[in-house]
Amino acid sequence: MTSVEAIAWNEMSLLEGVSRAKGTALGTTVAVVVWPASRLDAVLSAVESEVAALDLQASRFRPDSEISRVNASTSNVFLVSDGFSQVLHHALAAARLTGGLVDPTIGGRLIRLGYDRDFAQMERDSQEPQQPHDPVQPELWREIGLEGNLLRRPLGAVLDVGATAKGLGADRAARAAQRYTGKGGVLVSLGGDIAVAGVSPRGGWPIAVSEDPSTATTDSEVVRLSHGGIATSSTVCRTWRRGGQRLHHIIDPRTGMSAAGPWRTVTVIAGSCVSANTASTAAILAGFEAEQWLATQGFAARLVGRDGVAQVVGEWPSTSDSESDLRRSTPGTAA
Amino acid sequence: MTNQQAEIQETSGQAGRILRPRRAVVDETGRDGALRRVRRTSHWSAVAIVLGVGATTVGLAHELNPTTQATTAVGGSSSSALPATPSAGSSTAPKLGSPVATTSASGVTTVVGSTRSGSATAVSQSGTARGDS
Repeated sequence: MTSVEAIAWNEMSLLEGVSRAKGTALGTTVAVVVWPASRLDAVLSAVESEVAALDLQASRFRPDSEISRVNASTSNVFLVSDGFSQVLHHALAAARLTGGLVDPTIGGRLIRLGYDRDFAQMERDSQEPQQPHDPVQPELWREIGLEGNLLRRPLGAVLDVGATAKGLGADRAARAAQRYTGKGGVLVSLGGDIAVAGVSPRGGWPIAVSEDPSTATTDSEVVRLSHGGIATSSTVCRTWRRGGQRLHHIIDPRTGMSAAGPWRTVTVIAGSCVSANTASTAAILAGFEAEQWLATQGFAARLVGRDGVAQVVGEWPSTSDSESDLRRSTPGTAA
Repeated sequence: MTNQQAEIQETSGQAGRILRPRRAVVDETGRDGALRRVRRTSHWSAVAIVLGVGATTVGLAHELNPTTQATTAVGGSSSSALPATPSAGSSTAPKLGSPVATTSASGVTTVVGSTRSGSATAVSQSGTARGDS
């Protein structure tokens, strides 16, 4: 993540009664949409504050963040801030919910696979051979203790909260921004993980669902969101090569390697963005069990297989206004 | 507990500050000591009651706030994983035709440009890419 003093807003527009702003932070794109349009400045200040706080708590790529201090320390017990405690609380809740598929102790494996700095600064095609596998420590996350602000970290655990922190950040930012919208509403997107708060536009916030941010206008389906959040996890972005092998950032804690299941992209709608973020990552890792797990947990989801076939699970919104050119199959059936 | 475990590192505020437990060295034997202990116990009991009432009040207020509930839970049963029944928005709310945001895998932004100052926003370049190799 890039150090955040303030978000670099580089695009602003007024359209159909809403104000939109787009910028960069956390090494990715931040987007904010608000109505009434006049509330934009106050809303942006609130979002900036939340994003800056999250960066200082959870960025593995800045040495002064709390998570970096924990990872670099030889101590086992830490007194953490309220905000970082909340980040850890959600990361551990995600691990429990997913049976350890979303694992906050996966940081060591990410580093060994080469994801040891902000992605923009990574060498994307390293000829350096992969380091020998260190033994996977199954369910090390269960040994993490968190009571209030007191964190106890097991020996050898390198924390990474990438699967939950952005979603949580979007939730926090939307909730903070809502205070300035009066009777209106706000949408906050952190790198495509989206939270909404307040009163939505009539019919909901129209959101494009895409695998790839660079082709969003051509391959998108549109859904409308009135509450909660929506998040997408994918193996098609944030990829790199090491020793001739293609890798991506979603690590399977059972193997210590990039996930190699049947789904390349999963989008989930949930009561909060952090829940959606958790479920979309877990579904990529769950492989052929993803649909059943998502349905059992009550999530609405859209899964795209390696062959490009998309299918939906649960109460996924109507596709009547879909602009997707992906073929669709019956909900709940395997690709 | 080992000595290492007894040390607590504070991760926010003063970087790397180590908190170490302190031990009381006051001699509290005799009648005066016993009275001091009784007074101190009463004092701490009163503090605990005040804190307990306060925490309960805050907790109840927190539970009654549906927004807080919706955004702090991770997953859960079929009734809680999905958003509440969507509202159509108020009659004064705008109706949007085209998408205002995109959910996708995180793009990688490589150039950071402007900052906002008051109502003015300086614009500079940025680029979003897939982050592919």
